[in-house]
Amino acid sequence: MAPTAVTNQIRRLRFDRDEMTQADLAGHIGVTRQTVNAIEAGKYSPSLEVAFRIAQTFGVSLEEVFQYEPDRTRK
Amino acid sequence: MDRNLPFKERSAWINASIMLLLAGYYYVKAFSGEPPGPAATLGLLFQVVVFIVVLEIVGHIAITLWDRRTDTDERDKLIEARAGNIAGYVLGFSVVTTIGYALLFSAIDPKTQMCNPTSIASAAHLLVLGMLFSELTKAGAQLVFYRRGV
Repeated sequence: MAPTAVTNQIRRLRFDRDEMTQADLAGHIGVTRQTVNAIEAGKYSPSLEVAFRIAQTFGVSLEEVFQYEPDRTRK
Repeated sequence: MDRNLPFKERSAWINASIMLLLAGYYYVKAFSGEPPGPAATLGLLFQVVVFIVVLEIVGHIAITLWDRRTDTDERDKLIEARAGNIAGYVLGFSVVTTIGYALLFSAIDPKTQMCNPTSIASAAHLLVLGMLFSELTKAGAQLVFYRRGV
């Protein structure tokens, strides 16, 4: 089980935006590339502020980027 | 060491290595052979503090030269805070253990009405080892959180 119950569509959204790199996205939202990688892999749930910045970067709503799946949490 | 690691994870590797090395060094020096008295204990403690400072500076210069990116973000801070919380329990346990040891085994000499110097030195050793293990736990917990997620 993943450590976080939050899943996301960041990888798909990056590829839909001309294959934006993790480093590019990290630069836009003000975190490190490793943190973007951890968010994509479901190893870290970002703060609300970073979550909103991600949604804003892709020009979509928060719900389109992140989904909550409580059964996914590591026991 | 992987160049893709965040600065704080590289730093945790350095801290873990240094604390493991110094905990071993301190344990061997403090508990092998004749137990050192308070003056020798103070000397050993000073030695360990100097080693920590020098090794931390050299280690962090090395990892910064290896990869100059030293930026940190909210994930690094969260991992450091959670690891610090766990390390706090280890430090607290070592302090309570040392207090218990001091109360139970630091017998007062009826002639001089003073505590046995060897017992005082042993209590100091326990506390120093507790501090080193606490730092080791913090670095170890950081590495686990970086790998498994937080």
